Amino acid sequence: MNLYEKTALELSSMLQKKEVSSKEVCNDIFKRIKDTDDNVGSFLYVDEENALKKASEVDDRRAKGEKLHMMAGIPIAIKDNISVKGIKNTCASKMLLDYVPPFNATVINKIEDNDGIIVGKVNMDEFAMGSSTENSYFKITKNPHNLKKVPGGSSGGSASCLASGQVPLSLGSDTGGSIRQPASYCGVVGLKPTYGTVSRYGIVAFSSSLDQIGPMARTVSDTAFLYSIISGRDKKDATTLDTNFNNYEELLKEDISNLKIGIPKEYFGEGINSEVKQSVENAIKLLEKNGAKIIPISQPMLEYALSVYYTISCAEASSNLSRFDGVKYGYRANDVNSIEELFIKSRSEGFGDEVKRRILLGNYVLGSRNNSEYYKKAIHYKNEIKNIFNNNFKEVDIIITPTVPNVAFNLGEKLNDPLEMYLQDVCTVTANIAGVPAISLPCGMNKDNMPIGIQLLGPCLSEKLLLSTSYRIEQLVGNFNNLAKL
Amino acid sequence: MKFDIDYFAKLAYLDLGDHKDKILDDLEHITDMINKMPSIKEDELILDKDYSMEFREDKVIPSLSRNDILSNAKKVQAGCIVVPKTVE
Repeated sequence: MNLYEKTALELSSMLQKKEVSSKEVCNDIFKRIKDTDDNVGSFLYVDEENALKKASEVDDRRAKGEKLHMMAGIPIAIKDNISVKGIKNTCASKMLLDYVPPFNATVINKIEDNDGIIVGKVNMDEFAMGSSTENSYFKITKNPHNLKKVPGGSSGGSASCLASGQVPLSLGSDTGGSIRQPASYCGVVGLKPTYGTVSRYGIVAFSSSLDQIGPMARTVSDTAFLYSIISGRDKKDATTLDTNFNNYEELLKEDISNLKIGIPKEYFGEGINSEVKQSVENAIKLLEKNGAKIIPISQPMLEYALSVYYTISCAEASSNLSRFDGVKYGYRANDVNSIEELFIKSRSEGFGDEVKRRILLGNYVLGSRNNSEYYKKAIHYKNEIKNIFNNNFKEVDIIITPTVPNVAFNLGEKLNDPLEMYLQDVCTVTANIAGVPAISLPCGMNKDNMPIGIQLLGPCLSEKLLLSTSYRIEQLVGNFNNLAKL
Repeated sequence: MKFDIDYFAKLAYLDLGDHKDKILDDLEHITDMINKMPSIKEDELILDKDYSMEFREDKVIPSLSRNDILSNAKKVQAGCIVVPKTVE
């Protein structure tokens, strides 16, 4: 088995036993990237020189007998909206074509403090707005399982680099499903944590009340491992919570012997692909055979959840993206004669169409012409959605749904119909609106060998329960760490 | 309600150029979706209750250097960012 096929925890064990060096691991990873990325297109930037320098340093310290963290020497890829000092952070946008952050995101400090090796920045939809990574200004990323299909989005690069075996770990971000949907499409694991358990300091804001950085990997254990490193309170992000998720093994050991699983009927109705439905139901049956109790529940708000999500997220995005004006950083238009012309030309030339659509919608829902009617309604329904989840969790421990109603679609298929693209988020947005944790795992393949994803949701701060149940599903369903055949 | 794209584009400092008609068409479909949120009476609104956040102390502490902050600006002079004239 090649080193690039190993999980992060397998590599960590080999490194600690000195069966392999970090430099050897990184060299294998960079060879894999060179062999595959012309086809897949995960990476916007590969930092081979600095990564190998760091790997050598870790090897030297280990050779001298220094006790190092389990993360030491492990390669990881970072979504290109998370700031890494000294490396471009473009958000896949012309607006930030040349922007180099002068600081690290908190999650990056945590990885670097534990001697993780950042190998590069991966592709995404522009400013995290999209569900296919086709909105990237720079390039198309393809699904490693079928190069004619999308990897999902907006964390498409974060998912494709795992499925191709280019790295064992990656970071994504999730505002309405942007970790979970690409995880489902690419057959990997992705966790959107409870809102507030991972610092947002250093991520370029899209929708501040919904955004969360989250771990992605090919196995549940690796996902739990990465989550244990990046989670925790941060003084630089006032929305973070005091948590104690820093022991990844404990995150997999919750007693799930009397698990009550809620199945909301609204997620299994018309519109869900029959193979997706079958695969998810098979996984649920396996849990039932192993002692779980299945309880039907209802989430009637699914009908207008997308409306709530797009109202809130676009309202916040229109405010967050007003900072991009061509003045302090980012793209600045040429041949301008006034400050107003500077703003208009820089923004019009710097942003893509999807970003412009969402800014306009945000202004619309917040505008005084509508008396902020839309935004107030959306906040009301956000609280109602939270209440529905709270009531559900009085009856059940976790909720299971498909992650997406279908498998990955063809490149270009939904580009001309934004509303059709927005429907990709229908199963995932409620978790962001309510702030609850949600994870996507592979649960099978369809007849065309495209991955299918199952989604688990839990109450706030129930990551231990979610990850333990996910670990059990991984053992029952099997075939995780399944690299695409490239 | 017809989407007044010129008004909202002006608010957003955006010139939509040749894409205006397509974006308008898209937004009218998207606002149809937004309108699916059922109506509610003002007195039935559930808005956010208490939301406690920890704020840092109001003390000046070391932060980024001016050079670091200005490193991404297109044109800098005397420690300031140069932009087109704003005052006649």
